Order: sequence, then C-alpha cells, then structure tokens
Amino acid sequence: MKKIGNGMRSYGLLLLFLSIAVSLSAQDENVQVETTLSESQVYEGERVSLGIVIKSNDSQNITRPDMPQVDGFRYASSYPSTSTSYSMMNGVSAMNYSFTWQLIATHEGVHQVPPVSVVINGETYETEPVTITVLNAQQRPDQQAMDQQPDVFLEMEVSDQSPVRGQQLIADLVIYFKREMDLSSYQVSQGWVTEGFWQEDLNENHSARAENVMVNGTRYRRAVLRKHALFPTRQGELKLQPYKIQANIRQNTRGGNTRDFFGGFRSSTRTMNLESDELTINVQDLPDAPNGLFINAVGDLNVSRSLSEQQIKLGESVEIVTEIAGNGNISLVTRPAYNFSSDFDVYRPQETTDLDTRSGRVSGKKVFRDVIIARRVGSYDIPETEVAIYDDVQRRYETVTLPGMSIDVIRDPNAQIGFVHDGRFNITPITGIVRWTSGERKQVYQYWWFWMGLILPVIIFGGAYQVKSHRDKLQYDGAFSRKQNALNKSRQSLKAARQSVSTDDLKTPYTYIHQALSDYITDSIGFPPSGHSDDELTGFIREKSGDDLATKVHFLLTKCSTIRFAPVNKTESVLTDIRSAGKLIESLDKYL
Amino acid sequence: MIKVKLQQIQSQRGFSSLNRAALLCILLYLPLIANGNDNDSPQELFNRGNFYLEQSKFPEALDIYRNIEQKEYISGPLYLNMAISYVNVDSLGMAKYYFLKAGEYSATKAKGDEGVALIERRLQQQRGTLPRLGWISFNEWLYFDLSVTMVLLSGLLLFNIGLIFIVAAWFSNFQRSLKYSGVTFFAIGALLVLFSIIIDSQSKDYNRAVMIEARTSLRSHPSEDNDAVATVYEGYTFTLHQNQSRQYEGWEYIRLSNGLYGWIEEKAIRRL
Repeated sequence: MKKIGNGMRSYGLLLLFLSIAVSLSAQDENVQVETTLSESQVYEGERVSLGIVIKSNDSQNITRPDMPQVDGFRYASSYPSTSTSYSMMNGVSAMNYSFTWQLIATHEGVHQVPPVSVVINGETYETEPVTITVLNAQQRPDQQAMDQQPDVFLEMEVSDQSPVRGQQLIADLVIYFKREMDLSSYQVSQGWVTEGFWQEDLNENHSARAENVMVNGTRYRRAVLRKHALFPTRQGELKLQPYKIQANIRQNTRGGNTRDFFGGFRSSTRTMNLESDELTINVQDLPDAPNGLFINAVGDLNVSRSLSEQQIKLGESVEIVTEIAGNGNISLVTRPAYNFSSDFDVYRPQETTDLDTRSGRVSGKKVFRDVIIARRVGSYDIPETEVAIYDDVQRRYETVTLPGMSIDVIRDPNAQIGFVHDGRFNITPITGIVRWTSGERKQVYQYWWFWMGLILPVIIFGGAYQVKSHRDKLQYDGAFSRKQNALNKSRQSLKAARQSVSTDDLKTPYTYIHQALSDYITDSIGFPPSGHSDDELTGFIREKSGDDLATKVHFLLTKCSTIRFAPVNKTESVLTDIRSAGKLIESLDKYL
Repeated sequence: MIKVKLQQIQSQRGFSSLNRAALLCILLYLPLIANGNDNDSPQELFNRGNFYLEQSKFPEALDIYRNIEQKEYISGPLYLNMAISYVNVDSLGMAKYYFLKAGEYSATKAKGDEGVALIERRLQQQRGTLPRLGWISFNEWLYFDLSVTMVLLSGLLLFNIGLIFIVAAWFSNFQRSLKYSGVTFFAIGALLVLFSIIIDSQSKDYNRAVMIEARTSLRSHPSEDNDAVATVYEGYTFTLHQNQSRQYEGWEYIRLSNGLYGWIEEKAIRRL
C-alpha cells in the first residue's frame, strides 16, 4: 500500500463520515451526478480540475469513483481531493459531495472526459461525457496581445440569429471580465428596446455564476447577467438595441508590494458603463401550412380539445376547451377558428395563459374556451379538425388532429316559456284581456285640445283687452265718458221729472225734461254742457237725424222753456210729455 | 234574463206556436252567431296565440299574432308576446323590434325595456358594440324618445297661465309683479309650443328602424354594385331618413349610431 500521508488520512475520515451518514430513506431520483471541468479550453502543459459532483437531499453512502482515463491529459495526483457541503433552503436540505482531480494537458486536440461510474448506496450512477479542448502551446498569444484585449466587455448572445417568425430565442446578456477582476454589482441603466419582438423575462430564478472561458487566447471569466426569451413577430432584419448596464468592477492587484497588512490582496473598485453591441436578427417568414388550421404556433407544442359537457339542456352553454401546451410562443398563439353550425350562438371566447420561465425557457399552456349555446334541441357534431404547428427545430409543420365531438341538446322540462338569461331575468308573456288600439299616430295639431289651448286664450285676451280699453276711455276721455253716460243721465232726469209730477208745482217736471233733452244732446255730441240755445241744439239734431225728429225736439224744448208762461197743465199732460221726451231720446240714440 | 222576458212577452201577448218556434231558433243560433264573430276578434285570436305560446309552438303563435297585427289591432302585450316568440325562434332582430314596440306602452314598458337590454347584451357578445356619437344620441332622444305631447301640454299651460297673469295685471293692484310673471310664463310657454311643433314636424322626416337580417352591407349608393361602407348586423338600431328613402324603391337611407350614413336594402330592416 502506498503511503499518501495527510491526504490518505483525510480520505479515511471522509469514508468514515460517509459510512456513518448512510440514509436508508435515500431516493434515487434525488441524486444527481455530474462531471465538472474548471476550464473548457487549456493550452498544453496547463492544469485543469476535473470534478465529480454528487448532489442529493440526504446524506449518501458513496464509494469513491474510479479515476477516469482522459486522452490528452495526465493526472497530477492519483488521489482526488474531496469535499462535502450541507445547506438548507426553504426547509429543503441539500448535500453536495465532490471528488476533484488535477489533470495536466499533454496533447493538443479536442478530448472527451468519458462517463464516470459512481456507486451510491449500492447503485451505480453514470455521468454525462464532457469535452475539453487542448490548444497548442506555441499558439499562445504573447502577453502584449493579451493586454490589448479589453478588461471587461458586454455581449448579447442570442441562441439563433436566423430564426423564423414566432420562434423562441434565448437572449443572454453576458459579461466577460479578466481573471484578476470581479463583478461586485450591476444595475440596468436603460430599458432594452426590442422592437419587433415579443419579450418574456427569464430572470425570476436566474443567478449569475461565473465560469472560465478563453476568448482569442485570453482567459476571461464569463457570467450571464440577464436572460430573456424573444419571439420575433414579423419577418425581415430586426435590430436588437444595445443593452446598457452600470457595473461595479473590483480589481485585485497582485505583487510583492501590494499585499496589505494582513497579507491579503489589495483591491480597488470602479464603476463602468457598459453596453452590448447592436445585434441584427434576420427573421425568416413561416412557410404556408400544407394543411390544417394555422394558429401561429411555433415550437414544441401540443394541442388538445375537449368539451365541458356532453349533454346540455336547451339554453345552457357548453365550452369547447382547446389547450395548447409545451415550449414555444405560447403568448402569440391564436385561437383555432372552428366553424360552428348556425344552430349555435357563439360567444366571445375566454382565454387564459399560464407561462413557466423557471427552466430558462418559456413553456406553459394557453387555454381557449369557446362558449356556445344551442338554439334548438338535437344532436350536434363538431367535426374533426387539423391544426398545424411549426416545429422550429425540425423546421417543418407538424399536424395535430383534434378528434370530432358531439353534443346532445335536450329540452329542460322545468323551463318556463320566455326568455331566460343567466337565470336572473325572466320575461314572461302577458295573457288575458288586453286593451286594443288602432295604432294610428296623430300629429299634435290633430288634437282638439291643441287648438283649444291656442284659441281660447286669444279670445279671452281679446275680450279682456276690449274691457280694459273701454274702461280706460271712460276714465281718461271726458267726452267719451259723457257720451257713454248720456242716456243714463237723461233717464235719471226723466225719472226725477216723473217724481216731481206729484207736487203742486207742475212746472218743475218741465225743467227736468228740458235738462234731460239738452244734456243728452250736448253729452252725445260732445258740446260743452251749457251755453247752447234750443235753436242751436235743434239745428244740430236736424243735421244728424232730419227734420222730423228736430221738429219734435224743438217743440218739446220750446214747450219746456215757455211753460212758465202757460196756464197750469194737467198731470196727464205732463206725464205724456215725459214719455214723449223718453221716446225722443231713444230715437236720438240711434243717430247720435 | 232573455228567457224570463220571453215568458213575459208570451204571457202578455199570447204568441202563437209559430212565433214561439221562430224565437226558439233565434235563441239557439244566437250564441253560434256570436261565437262565430268572437273567433275573429283580436282578443280571441290573442288567446289562441297565447295557447300556442304556452305549448312552445312558437311559429304557430307568431302566425296568429301577425294576423292580429295585420288587422291593425295592436297592444303592448301583443308586441311583448311576439317578441318572446321571436326570441324562441331565434330571430333576435325581430325580437328586438317587438320589444321596442312593447316598450312604447305603459303596461309593457318595463318588460319591453328589459327585453331590449337582454337582446342587446346577447347581440353584443356576438358582434361587438357599435360606438354611439353624442350628437346622434341627442338627435334620437329629441325625435324618438322625447314626449312632444307633454312638452306641448306644458307649453300651452304656461302660455295660458301667462295670459291670465297679464290680463289679471290690467284689473288688479299687483300690476307690476303680475305683468312680469305673466310675460315670463307667456314667453316660455310660447317657446315650448313652438319647439314642440317644430320637433313634431321634423320628426316626421325621421324614423327608427331595426336590422332584422343576420348581416348586410351599408352602401354608399342605393345599388348592390356600389362600395360597402360598413357591415350592419342583426339587431342594430338606426335612424332612417324618410325623405331620401322615398327617392329609391327598395332602398332606405340610414344613419348608424357611429355617424356613418349609407343605403341599405329595405327588406333587411323593420321600421318602428
């Protein structure tokens, strides 16, 4: 047995620990075994670390794996270094075991690390093979050329630069920085413009991890900062604008004079504004689908269709559920336009999208629910339908056949006649005795009340205006007032004459008769009330009414004026004269 | 009652046996004659239609209802039951038309309005909503929804009150206040009367119509060869211009609620 000193002792302790920590409840599916390499490219003579990492939720009984033979490399040591770690996150425990060998590159070329077998709890696990490139040491660039390479740069790496419309592209924002540098933090300084693309953010569970790479012969550390899924929505040359970040870069300085007091490396941090180059993506248009409905689906997608109910009552709705699931442009998929029979009322479909970005790609499902309501009872068939999906890996259409379905619509025996909507409203018919009309529509002017309402007030207004005018004239026009009152005044005078007949003085009535006649004539004509002779009054009467009346008036007036010189008359004669005066006044009223 | 009277007549006048036989015949046939007349009465037809409606025989019910309508007997319940029948035979345009007609009667207004709202909701889910311009809505309210009779009555009332106040001012001690109030009432009343007369005469030139076919094209000119301005769907309600429509046989000139004008085939619509 070969002595291996401290290394052997630690190996023994590890085995002891592993054997004590055997878990009987370990489940195979919780164990992952993989091969890791510290570098993917090395020059001849350089070292590389080869690790076998076992990840599990519980402690495991692990047998040390046999050292794999790797072409182009030799082992720097026969024994691997080992390590174990335990962590607990969100109540889930995780254990990592690793065996690490140091290899030295000996021959130029692309070499493969073969699968390595690991026995865990008596079961054998195998890793996936990995490749590593060994470069010729003569081709190593000199130090000056390496110094001319930028210390830090940003790149947008897109999974495919010639995709088809709708194809899922993974765009990684990658930072490269030299080994003596480290990225402390960064922040996106400007929104990323992706015109012509549908963008989904894949950064929910993404954490940046640096790995060693070689770019143009210079060693860099590479870390993916941001991940996005892009779906081109149109064909042609589409530009991806630069992605801009502000990064805090820490630079570790080596050398004898740069160690600090405690023996560590000195470092300085600086803030840098970095941006990726503009990228042109040449998007190809999709070829025409050879057959089937095209629903704009591109990717590894599957389509299925189902009915919510096989048998429904008349008036009830039924849903045709179409589910598109898988990896691809789920968000851009359109509803399959089924041709429903005219026996159905088709309502606006419902649409739900459920995306999953945890795997670093966009996957998920989209569900369309076509809501239809049958108009009549019966059995209805929804025919078989073919749907075309474009496979962006195979670059060809795949046709999915959705099977035909049938719906039985039966009458609801308890349904009321009427129009029921959502069970909330029910318009029932009206039966029984109703009031019938002719339905003739009249214009407003055909109603009697319209004319009545217009004419009656005009009549009332006219009448009232007349009354008002008359009243005003009586009040303000003296001649008019005298004329209007002339007849009444004369009648009063004649009444006074009649009353005075009973006295012994029979001449007094003649005074009243004269007054009645003269006042009537002057008031009617508008003459001043006094200062006119009987002849003047008689002359005016003659002009107006002729000789006959004028003679009678003149006779009576003369008689009244001269009665004081005549012998006393009889009462009957006086009364006769009063009546004659009354008749004369009435006759004159027609002319004056 | 008739029999009692007959006995009285017989006892009073002593009818002969021949006369008694003639009267008996009349009495026997009278109900039949009366019954024969009742079969054609709108109420009897309506009852028969309702019977078919209750039996879910909607086409038969509609035949009878249409028969009543052709006889120019109308009522709110008739329109309502026709609308319900049309809903059940899946003619939503016609159903909306008759719900709108039923809404014009106080007895069926609530149900008619509810039916229109339901039809609108159902049609909207199928073909979306046509936007409504504000001024078109105002015009439609002015010409179709506003009660011109009520405005006219109010105007006449104010007109008369104003005149009474003015006349009263001539003969009372409160001349100033009565005069001003009267003139104000008179002016407002006269304006309302004038307004209602203008609206009433203007509204004769417009009519409301409902689209009853599933879909048709609104055309820039009254011919099928002309460009389609828009597509008109079942249940759309629009304003119809009577004057322009009279110029072309079989075509109607309409204005949609979104402001589009055009010609539509007469057979595709029903005037309200």
